[in-house]
Amino acid sequence: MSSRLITEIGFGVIVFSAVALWVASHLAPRKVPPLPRVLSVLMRKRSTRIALVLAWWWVGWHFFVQS
Amino acid sequence: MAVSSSEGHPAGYSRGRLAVDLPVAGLVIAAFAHGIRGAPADAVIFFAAAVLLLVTERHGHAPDDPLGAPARLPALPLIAVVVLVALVFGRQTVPMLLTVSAIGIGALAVEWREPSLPPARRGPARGWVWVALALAWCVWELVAFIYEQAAGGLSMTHPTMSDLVDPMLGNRVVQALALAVWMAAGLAMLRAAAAARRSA
Repeated sequence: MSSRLITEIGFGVIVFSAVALWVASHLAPRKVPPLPRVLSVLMRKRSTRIALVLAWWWVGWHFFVQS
Repeated sequence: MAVSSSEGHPAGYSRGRLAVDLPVAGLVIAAFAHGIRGAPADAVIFFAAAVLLLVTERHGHAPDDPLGAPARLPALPLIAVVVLVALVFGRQTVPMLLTVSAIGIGALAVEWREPSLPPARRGPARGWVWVALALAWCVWELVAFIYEQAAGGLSMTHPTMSDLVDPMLGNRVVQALALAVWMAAGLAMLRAAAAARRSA
């Protein structure tokens, strides 16, 4: 197994886990809290809000503006 | 979608404890990473955000200052605009630069004017799974990034998320879909922040 494949599998597992958590949080919100509920707790702090918003904005900037 | 805030500070309002402020530290680390990967503009933006946060928290709102008026973000029109820009102009164009820049400045302005709220007494049960997943992604991306830099900036053996996603964005329809998802994610995040303010 090549190192590239291992890297891709790692990202794949993370994406799959995110989708699985998202589905689980909608089917059983008492067992797995929905992401917005977690974010609303984390984003009570201004520095967390700004860091998250900046990270989100940068993703758009990186993929759609930069080469 | 409406993003609103309370009209006044909640009881127990507190400024951030910057001595152990992990988000600020994260911004500085990100700035260094951008510098290493040869993106000085990104490095400056992240470093400036960290410095401005420090200044804002030290000299920001006094506890009795009123907050700004509630902000309302039209979700569907915003998503429609970014989709239209992607379909008509495509990425890496001046209209796209202006659109993404305006959205980012607007979102940061909305969130920057609001102070830190008192910490929640109790977070949602098992909320850590989402945090663990985000940290796992950060660590995996960092490992790939380090390998990529060690390989001279272009790694075929340890690609970063950017290396994997970028080739998929050649088509304008895919760009429009991806941009719509990005916009919706950002709006959901702003909505979550507004929910926190309403509950304070």
